[in-house]
Amino acid sequence: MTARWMITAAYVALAVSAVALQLAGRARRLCLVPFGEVIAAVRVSPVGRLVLALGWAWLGWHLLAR
Amino acid sequence: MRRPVRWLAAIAGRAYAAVATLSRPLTAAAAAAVAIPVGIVLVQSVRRRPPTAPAADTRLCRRTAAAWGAVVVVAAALELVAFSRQPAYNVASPGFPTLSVLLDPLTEVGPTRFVLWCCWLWAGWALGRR
Repeated sequence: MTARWMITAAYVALAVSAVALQLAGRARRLCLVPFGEVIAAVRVSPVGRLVLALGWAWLGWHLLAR
Repeated sequence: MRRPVRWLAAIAGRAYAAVATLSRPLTAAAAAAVAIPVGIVLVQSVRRRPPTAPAADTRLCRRTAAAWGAVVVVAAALELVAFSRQPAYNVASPGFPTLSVLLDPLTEVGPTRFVLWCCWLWAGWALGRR
């Protein structure tokens, strides 16, 4: 098993986890809420908004500029 | 936001995405195309404040945030490991690919790059709005 295969598998596992978290949140199962509600709660504070904006900026730079 | 303004924002966003799609990754044009909306959203997110606090259950929100935080931390760790194995900043390691390297076939060129640009701009608009 190569490192490339393991890293790819880890990203796939993370993507599946993210989908599962969102589905559980939308169904209000496992004591979870939808991702949007967490984002809305984080956006209340200026620091939270800045952190979210920086994360969004990093994603754009990483996937679209480099 | 009023409907005509939303429509105008949607059209402007798609037009910007169409132009930005033409930029190639790892070029100054691509960096500038990302930097312009980043600057606008950063200023907006610092200056503006959402009108009301959400009425979500704080305990459930914290639990969900912790779960999503774990996903983000593991993804960041993977990225750091892959990035540290690169021979240079702009030279990917085939053995330890970053997320951007794995998604290169989708993000480098074509309609999928345009769709990704649209999604990214929409997310930025959603973060920056009131």
